[in-house]
Amino acid sequence: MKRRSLSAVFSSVTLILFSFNGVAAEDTPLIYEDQDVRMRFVQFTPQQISAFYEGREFSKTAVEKLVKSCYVTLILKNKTSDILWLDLDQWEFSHNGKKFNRHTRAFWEKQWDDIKLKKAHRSTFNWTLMPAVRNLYPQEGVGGRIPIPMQSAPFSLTLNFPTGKNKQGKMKSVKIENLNCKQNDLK
Amino acid sequence: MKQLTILCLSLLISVNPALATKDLPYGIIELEARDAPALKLKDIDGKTYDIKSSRGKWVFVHFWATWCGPCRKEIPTIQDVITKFKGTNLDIAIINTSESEDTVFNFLGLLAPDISPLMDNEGLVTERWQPRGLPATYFVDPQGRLRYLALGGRPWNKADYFEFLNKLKEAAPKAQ
Repeated sequence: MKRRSLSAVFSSVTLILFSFNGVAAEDTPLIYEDQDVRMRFVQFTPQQISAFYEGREFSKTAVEKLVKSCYVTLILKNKTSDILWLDLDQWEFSHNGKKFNRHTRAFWEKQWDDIKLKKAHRSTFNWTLMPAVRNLYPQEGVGGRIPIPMQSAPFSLTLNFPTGKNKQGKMKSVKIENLNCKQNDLK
Repeated sequence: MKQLTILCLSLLISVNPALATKDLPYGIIELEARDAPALKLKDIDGKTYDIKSSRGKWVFVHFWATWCGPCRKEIPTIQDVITKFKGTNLDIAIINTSESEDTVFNFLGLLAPDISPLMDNEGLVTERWQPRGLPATYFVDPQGRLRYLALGGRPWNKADYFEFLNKLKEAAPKAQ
């Protein structure tokens, strides 16, 4: 790589520090682990979400749309020796017993069409999302954001995982209570 | 006799260049062989690469982005792969997904200055390959078929991965 001057290389120090500040800003994550799965939930404030996408040169109007949603960020590992299916349509978000839906990729495409978001940013956004469906191999991990409507009170998430190559195995279910949409720190 | 032996070995390699599954390092899985999608992009210095030009060699095809945590961890190990295998019978294609030249240059300048990534400016090539996520690494055989997939980020500079890459390099017919 020889495109730029050496001085530009040193400016990267700032970028790297900025990148890792984003990680440092995380609160203690919620971790769930049993014999089949390990899950790590991280919540980001609207300010943190805004900073992430602004740092990727998203427009102000795009960021304004983004911060209206809440993002359940999850890193998941299949600890079994079989295929474990990630299938977001089988996951249920609920608050006080009332179910609510996540914001799907189709929802976001409509948002992006409205503001004519450029393809590169649509691509980046899509790659930050949790895949909608994935056959997780033994010991494979996956991570990403699941956007949901902003919630003002704690909510629960029931994660249903079909198992086996053709989903023929027993359904694995885990319920996580007291998830929150983390709000900006006003101090 | 020696020439006949070499010919037989060459034929064996070209018919079935895959390694036995038991020889694969952790996190590398064998795929049902199928034609690799098209890959033709300019690198950050403006030089065009077309995967068709790598016929006759194995190709290490890697997708990444600077915002992705596992990618940041993995990139220095890919720099080591490039140092070790550049100019050999293992071609290496590193594709940045949808980021600007400034972002990529500033990031790699510090961590991996020997990488000249191919710039998938709008993410369309990445979408065509449909990786399971970022980072993603595929191995394309000398006939242009997808043969192996690495699950997530891998420590490519560890001995068992170097050995795997060495076997691919040795399995490729010599470049013309």
